[in-house]
Amino acid sequence: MKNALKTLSFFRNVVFLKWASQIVFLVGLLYIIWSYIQNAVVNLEQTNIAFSWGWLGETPGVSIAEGMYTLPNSGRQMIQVGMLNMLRVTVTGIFAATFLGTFLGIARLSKNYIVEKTSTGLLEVVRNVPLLVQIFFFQAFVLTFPRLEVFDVGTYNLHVSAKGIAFPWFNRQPTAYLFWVYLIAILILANKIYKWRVQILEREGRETRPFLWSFGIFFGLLVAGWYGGYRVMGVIGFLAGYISTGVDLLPAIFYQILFSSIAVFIGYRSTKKFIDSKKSEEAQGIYSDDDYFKIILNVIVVLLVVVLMFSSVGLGLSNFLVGDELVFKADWGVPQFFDGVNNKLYWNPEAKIVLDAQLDGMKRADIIDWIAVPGTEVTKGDVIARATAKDLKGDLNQEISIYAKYTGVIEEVFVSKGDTVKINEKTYDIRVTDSKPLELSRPRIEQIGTTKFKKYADGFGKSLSVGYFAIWLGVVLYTAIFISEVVRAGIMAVSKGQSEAGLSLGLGRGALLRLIVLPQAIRVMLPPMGNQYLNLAKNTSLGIAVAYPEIVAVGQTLYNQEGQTLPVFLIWMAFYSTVSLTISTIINYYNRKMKIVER
Amino acid sequence: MVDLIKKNAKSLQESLFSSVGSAALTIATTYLVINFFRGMLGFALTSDKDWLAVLNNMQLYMVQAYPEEDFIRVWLSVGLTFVLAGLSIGIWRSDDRVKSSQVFNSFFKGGLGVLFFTIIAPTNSSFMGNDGSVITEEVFSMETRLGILIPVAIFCVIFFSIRFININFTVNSSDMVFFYLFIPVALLWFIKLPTIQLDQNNERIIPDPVMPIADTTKIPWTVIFVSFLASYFIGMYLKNIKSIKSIMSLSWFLLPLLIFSWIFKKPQIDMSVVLGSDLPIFGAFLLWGFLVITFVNNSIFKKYYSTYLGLTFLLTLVGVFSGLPMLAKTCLLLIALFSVVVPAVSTSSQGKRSLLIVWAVALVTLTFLLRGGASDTGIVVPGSSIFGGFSLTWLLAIFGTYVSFPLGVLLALGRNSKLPIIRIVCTGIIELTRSVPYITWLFFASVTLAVFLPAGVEFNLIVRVLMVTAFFSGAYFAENIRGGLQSIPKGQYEAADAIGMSPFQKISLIIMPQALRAVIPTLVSSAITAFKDSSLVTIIGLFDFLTIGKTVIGNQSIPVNFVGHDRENLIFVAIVYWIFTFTLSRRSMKVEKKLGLGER
Repeated sequence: MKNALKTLSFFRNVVFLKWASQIVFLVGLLYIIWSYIQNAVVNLEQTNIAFSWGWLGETPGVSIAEGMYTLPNSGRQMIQVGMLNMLRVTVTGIFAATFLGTFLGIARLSKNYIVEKTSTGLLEVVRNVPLLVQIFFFQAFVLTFPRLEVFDVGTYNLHVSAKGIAFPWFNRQPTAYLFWVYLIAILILANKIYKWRVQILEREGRETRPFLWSFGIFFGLLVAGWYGGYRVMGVIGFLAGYISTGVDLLPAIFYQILFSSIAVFIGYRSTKKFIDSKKSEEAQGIYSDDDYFKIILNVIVVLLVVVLMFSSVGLGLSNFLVGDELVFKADWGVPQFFDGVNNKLYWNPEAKIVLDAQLDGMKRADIIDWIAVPGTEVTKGDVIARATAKDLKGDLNQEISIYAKYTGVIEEVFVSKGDTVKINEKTYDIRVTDSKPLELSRPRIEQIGTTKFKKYADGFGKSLSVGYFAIWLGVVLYTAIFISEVVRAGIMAVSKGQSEAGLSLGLGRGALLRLIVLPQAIRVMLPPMGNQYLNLAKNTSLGIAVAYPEIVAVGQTLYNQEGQTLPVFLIWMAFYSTVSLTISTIINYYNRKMKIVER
Repeated sequence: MVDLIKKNAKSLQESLFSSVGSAALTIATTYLVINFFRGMLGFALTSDKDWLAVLNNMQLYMVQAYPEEDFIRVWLSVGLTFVLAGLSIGIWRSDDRVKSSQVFNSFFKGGLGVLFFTIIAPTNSSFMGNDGSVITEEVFSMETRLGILIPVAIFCVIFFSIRFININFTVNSSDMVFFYLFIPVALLWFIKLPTIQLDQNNERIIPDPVMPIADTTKIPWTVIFVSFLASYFIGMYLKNIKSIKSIMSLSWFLLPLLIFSWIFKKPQIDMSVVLGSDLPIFGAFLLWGFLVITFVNNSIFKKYYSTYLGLTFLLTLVGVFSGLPMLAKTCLLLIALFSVVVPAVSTSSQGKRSLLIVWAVALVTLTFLLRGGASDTGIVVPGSSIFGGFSLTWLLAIFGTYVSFPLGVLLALGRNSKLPIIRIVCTGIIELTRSVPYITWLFFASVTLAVFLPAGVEFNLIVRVLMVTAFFSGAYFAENIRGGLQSIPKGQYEAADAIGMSPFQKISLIIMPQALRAVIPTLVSSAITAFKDSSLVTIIGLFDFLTIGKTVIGNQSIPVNFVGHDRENLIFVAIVYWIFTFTLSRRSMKVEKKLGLGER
């Protein structure tokens, strides 16, 4: 080989040609990209909209129809609202679509003629019509109902109007987060107990009633939790407070060094592993040029990460992590995150009061009378204070009421008599104890201030806006249909012998499906199921067509406002990539877990 | 007869009432289904729906603002498609025969369907008025119900009892297509529909007068049907001509290009330019090609062939950068490439003849396209693009596939390549493209793409959308094709290497045909997805089929008021999309079965 290489002229050497052509290709590609970027720079200069991220910190001055903040104070917060709205559809949609899809998939395999034909018919209709048409149809369906203004103020069970759909719902109290964490904890505990009892059963062969045990303990803890026991989880919030203080003290350079060393370590370990694998008997320590390329690439990537970490990008990231107030104004850093955890998961979390004042021109209110002093029990909707609203000039204008947004016993109040509060921010903190985590309430129609317009009251029942309803239903139905195909194919992939073997052991139909067929079908189903989840996440972007403010719609509003199309596009790309990566990581994790353990 | 009922009853019992649970499920589902259809019928029949919003706007739906004096181009395009379809059905005419009993059975089933809907249709239906009150009205009176029920019942009984009389004849299954198409075409001449008419004050006459269908609709369709039928017989006649099938496949591939240029341009050709410059160039190059083909086997010419080739290429190089007319430049390029191919192909006299035909056809096409492309169009569409409505949807779907498929093949090969840099770049392109939803790419096309182009270069929005679609669908095609590439056993590569094939030959002759064949179903479903996704251009403001239904018709307020009639239009749009995608997916299933995929 060596001799052959010597005698060949270099331009007939395969290795040379291979690398030369690739490098030429790469250089050509980079040149093209560079020239396009040059174009962009020149064009942007001419239009006086230079590429910048400054708008993230500026107040966009537009309102969002629904979401965490309807009047965001910065571009960053606006993007945040869009992301959360998108995730709201995606996460709930994934669960609903999986449930519905599994149901339909099993129905399609039913021996019952009518059930099978009905589900097949539904499949053929939904699958062959563009999703956008379906979403538009659901929107048009709701929009043709009368306007909300023609209905009377009051409480309803189920209500549909051109403004959306409202129905009774369990509304979150401030302690709900604590309760969710508690619920997850006891679910894990119940699972562990089940496994432990099964272990004993397998070891000793006596009846240990694993299901009864785990369910009994779960139920007992659930009841105990509902009546106050969930507060033990407050310890998380307690600890998070200390972590937040601790993290706050770290300087930005710490993260830069930390990430650089992690990159160097990972690069070193993977390279070493690669070299070690080449030392095995089959490889005999021979390196092909591809192998050299891999090693060089590893080094380049590590160097790139280190350089990036100490450039402005890395500094930005570190500032983000330490929660630098100058760069990222509000609550986006790590300490702020832990602060949030501390707030939400403390044993008596902060609750909110609501100013009933969306009056035109009114900016501030002076609280003239506190009705609910600490110690009083309030129900949601109770008047707890009265205030006078002022307009910009400071003229007294109107007396307004302040309502409690949650039920409970007031422990501490952060706004007192005589304080001035901003009306735009709408909610103010009080601290409540002794509230149930969830509360069932019915939807209510109320007047907006003194105007003739009406709305569904916040925190009473659940009201879905037209956009949310249309995009959610459209995406769920569409994905469920594709999932039903996946489920059907998965079940059919399990060989008939397996079911027959199960039946001959004397298993019932339910047990057969649960113990024999589904565990094997899930292995086949998981990868395509993951694809469907990714499609669902991407399809939520159609919300823009029905005015649902998810990330794409919000981004569009932003670049119409600021003219910064490129940064918005980069944000879209980064966000969707992150979501896709997260979903596929979760699916891959389950896939690995479900894999057949081969001997 | 009694046996038949007994047998059916038994199988019914087995499939529907085998256990208590199954029976409950049957009853619940039946209840749901019947109520669903009742609701749908009631929805469609209440007086707050105006179905004329759909019927009155067919022209808008199909071609949007295309000028009426040039409609003949659209009709010819549709006609051409049908003629080609007729020829294809004739050429690929199957020998399957349908028994008369099957035909009668399908009539019987159709009748039963109508009976079912007539029986379950609700007498009264209600909707919510603007003031929030519920309005209930009679939508389906007893007289109408009986008026439909009795004739259809008689129809059903006839076709049911015909099965017990021994009538045995068979029909070719391809012929049945024409019978089923004949019915709607014949109906065009007889049915009368409510039509929107305006009175002297330019206001709509209510109720709408019932009038026969306009001549401008029924005459073209009748002509198209007749030529469809004629081309079917011609196709049967042409069936045995060698290589007719590949010619047909090629014409199907070229048809959209032809229709596109046909609808897009009415060339205002300057005859003096054609006679003065185009014809001489055309003649000269035709002669050149003819001479090359004739003398290629001549020993002297053969000896100096490489010199000739070199000279030709040199001439081409000089010619391309000189001030020659565009046609001459292109022809030079073509003759250079042609000269390379000629010695490899033309050995026999028959090969020479077909080469000459190919050369002449290529030259004619080139001359025609260049002259047509360079001249101004005579089609004036005020304020919007020439393509709109269904023609835009069709353009986006077909050309999206045309440009994205080759790109997908290249990306898939790149991702499977052994060259690491190329592999990384291709993987990066595919993953980046796929990670973001299509709509963000459409926004990229409509807003951001212009930023990257050099100053002065501008593309129409439709072209930009096509560019972005090429990458987006291309990435999805690439992933599908990669699946096919991975299914090829290593032995195929090694066998190709062993007989000394070049990498290009290996990929194009051995690997790709097998890989593509293995993934035909997923490719078709990707193409269907691309067709459905073309509706997304509504969001960036192109006037495609969906936009017409959703926005344009909803804004017609004078003299007809179609505001708030979105649901009727959306249902119509959904039905049209459904027909296309459903037919396509059914066809692909048939092709799949024919190729025996999944049975290997």
